[in-house]
Amino acid sequence: MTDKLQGTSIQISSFLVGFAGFACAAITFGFYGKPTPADAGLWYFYLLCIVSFFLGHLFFFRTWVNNRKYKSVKEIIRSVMVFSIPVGAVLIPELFGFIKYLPEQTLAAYKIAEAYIFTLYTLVSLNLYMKLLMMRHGAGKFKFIQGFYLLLMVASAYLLVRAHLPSWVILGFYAISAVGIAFLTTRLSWISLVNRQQKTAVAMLLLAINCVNSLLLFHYLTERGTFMLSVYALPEVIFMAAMGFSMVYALMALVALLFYFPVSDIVDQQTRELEGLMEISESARQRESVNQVFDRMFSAAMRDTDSYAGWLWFKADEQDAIVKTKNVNLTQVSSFREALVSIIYSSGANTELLDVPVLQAYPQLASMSNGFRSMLALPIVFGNTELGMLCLLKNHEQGFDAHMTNMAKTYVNFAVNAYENQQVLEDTLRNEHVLEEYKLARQIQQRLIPASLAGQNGWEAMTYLEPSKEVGGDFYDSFVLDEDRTAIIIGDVSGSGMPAALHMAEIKGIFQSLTAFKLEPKELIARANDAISACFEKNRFVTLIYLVIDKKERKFTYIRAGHCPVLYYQNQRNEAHYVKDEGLGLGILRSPVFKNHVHAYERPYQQNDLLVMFSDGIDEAIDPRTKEPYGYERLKNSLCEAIRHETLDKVMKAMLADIKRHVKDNRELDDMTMILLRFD
Amino acid sequence: MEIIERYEDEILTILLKGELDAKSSIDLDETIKMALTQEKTRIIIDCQHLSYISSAGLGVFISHLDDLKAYGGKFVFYGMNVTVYNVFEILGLHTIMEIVRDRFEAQTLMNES
Repeated sequence: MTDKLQGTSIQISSFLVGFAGFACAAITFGFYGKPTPADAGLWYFYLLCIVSFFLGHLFFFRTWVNNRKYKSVKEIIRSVMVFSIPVGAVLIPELFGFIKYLPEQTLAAYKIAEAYIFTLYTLVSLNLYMKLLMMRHGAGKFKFIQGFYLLLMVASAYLLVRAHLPSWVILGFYAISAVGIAFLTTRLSWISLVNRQQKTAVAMLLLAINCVNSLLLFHYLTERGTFMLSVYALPEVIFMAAMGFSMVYALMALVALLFYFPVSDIVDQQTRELEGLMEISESARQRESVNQVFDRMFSAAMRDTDSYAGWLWFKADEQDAIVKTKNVNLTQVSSFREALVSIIYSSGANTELLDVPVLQAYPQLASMSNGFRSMLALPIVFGNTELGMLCLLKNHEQGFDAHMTNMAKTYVNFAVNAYENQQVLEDTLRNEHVLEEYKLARQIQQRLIPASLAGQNGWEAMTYLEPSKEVGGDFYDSFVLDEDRTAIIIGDVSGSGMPAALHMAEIKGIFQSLTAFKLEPKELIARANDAISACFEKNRFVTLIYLVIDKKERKFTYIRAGHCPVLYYQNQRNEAHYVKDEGLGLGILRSPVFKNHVHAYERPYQQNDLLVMFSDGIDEAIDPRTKEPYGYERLKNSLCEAIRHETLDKVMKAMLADIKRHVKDNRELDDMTMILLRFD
Repeated sequence: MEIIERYEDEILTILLKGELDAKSSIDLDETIKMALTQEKTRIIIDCQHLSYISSAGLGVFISHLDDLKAYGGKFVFYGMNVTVYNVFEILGLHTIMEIVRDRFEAQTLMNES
């Protein structure tokens, strides 16, 4: 804030110094006429006034111009034009001879005012052209321009000391200025920044400036002697350098702009296209909604094709259609679109461009396009599906050339790409979310299934459970019934993945509550069937084994409800066999009749007898090469082989290793569960 | 999986060819549902070319058991290979479903009731 204030105060004081210099010079002139070097002190005072006037204003305008934020070339040139108006205003009465009617004293004042206005114009235009020169150029150009200024200042300073210069110095100054001006005037690359909408305005402004400049030049040439230099007493070289530059530069700019006109369209189109694309991609980059991206695309296409009216219809899957219109009735759009779609797709040809003959050829369009005489219709296609359409309309014929068509196509493609990218991104995020959910579900399920069975007293057990997906329908659990008895349950909900896992959780709850009632196994299973029948879908069922170990009686009772049979190893006989007994899965018969299908079996056990309970994921595990399932026989053999290991842990590892050898790298496995149970 | 229907003498025969997995179970379910709406409740399942049945496939038959019974119809299976039969047997389905050796037996059984 203080910097700004300081800057402003310096600016104002520089203006005041300049103006004071001018005022003093004018007063001196008014009282004494034009001083000569012979007037000694007065002459130097006069010179000082002139130089401070010149430099003060130069500095003021320089900072003023530099501090202003010009948005376009047009604004800069308009500033020059504005400052040229007072010049024209004072010159015209003089050139037409009106001023000779003024009284003598007033005439002098008029001349002084005129000199002031010319000087301001020169300094302002000099600075503004410098601004133009700086456009699109680097530091090298800047140094050159500074050099030009310096030259003006050095010349002024030198004049302060030596009033009259030798003619060769003046000549040399002219020569250097001429070279500098010639060099600077070729630097007109800012012209390419003049866009189509502005170029006519800029040309007119330049024309006006050049008219004023011509008047100024004419005035100078006709009244050479009485021109402002007679007031300044400065050698005309300095002023001429600045003035000459302004004049020549304005003229060159006008000429260059006229030559540039024919090619400007193409440059323009490319620039606009680039800007439009940047706009669309920027909006996509900032993750704006599809709606916003297409909104930008629509307005860019409308603007850059100079369309009078238009509409955009876009429908992404499962969302409401996005409809944008300009100067078109919203209710017409859908019927308009349908008519267009049928025409474009039925013809199969490249009919994006529909001019009056085409519009008239289709009565349904002609009636709807009320008054529009050319139309550009672009289908918005994503992959192979048509998602919508962009339609641009104009009141005159042949409103769309090939460039515009291409540009509109590019915009549409860009917007579609942006949409596509966004879809991919959203899908990725959604998938990540789902994976995260699955991870959580897995953690929860792992907590539902105990790592080891409870109540291992008089027997020991090892468990293994590997769901094929993150979660699965296999489960096992154990419940301590009393001091001597423990119930073990292993089961499998039909199906796999999340639905099976949810049912599995339900089953755990059912058994947790039923075991608390201390029911007979048969009764318990019947009630479990009732509970499952009540809440499971009809096509879903559960198979399980319910096993109760009684260590006091040294026996186990079990019910096989449609589950894989238990593999029973009898230590004394050193032999294993499957205990095949009758039993129906749960949730299959949903009536009291089910109870007739429940069979409980009781068996005594000996020390070191071993039970293997497993799910069908084990016996149905496929060898991907031979397509052969693992099968009951392999499992039995594997147990007989592994039984030599001392600890249960090692037996389990050996058996699992055998299964792994069989399935190799098969990734399409079912949930696998296995429990080894050995009696003490 | 190929599902071929044939309706004659008021008996609907559904021939299953290939593997009845989770995906083809949905088609089979549709087929049976459609048959029920047409009151074709006497259904013979030809399993001669059924090589594998998943739990979802079993689920389809199980889910329609009660409905069929309510309409006075039933399923009769025939021509199962050992693998498929074992699946039915382990689950205990052989005790509640009628599974016979060949078409003749199936037809006889169907006409008995």
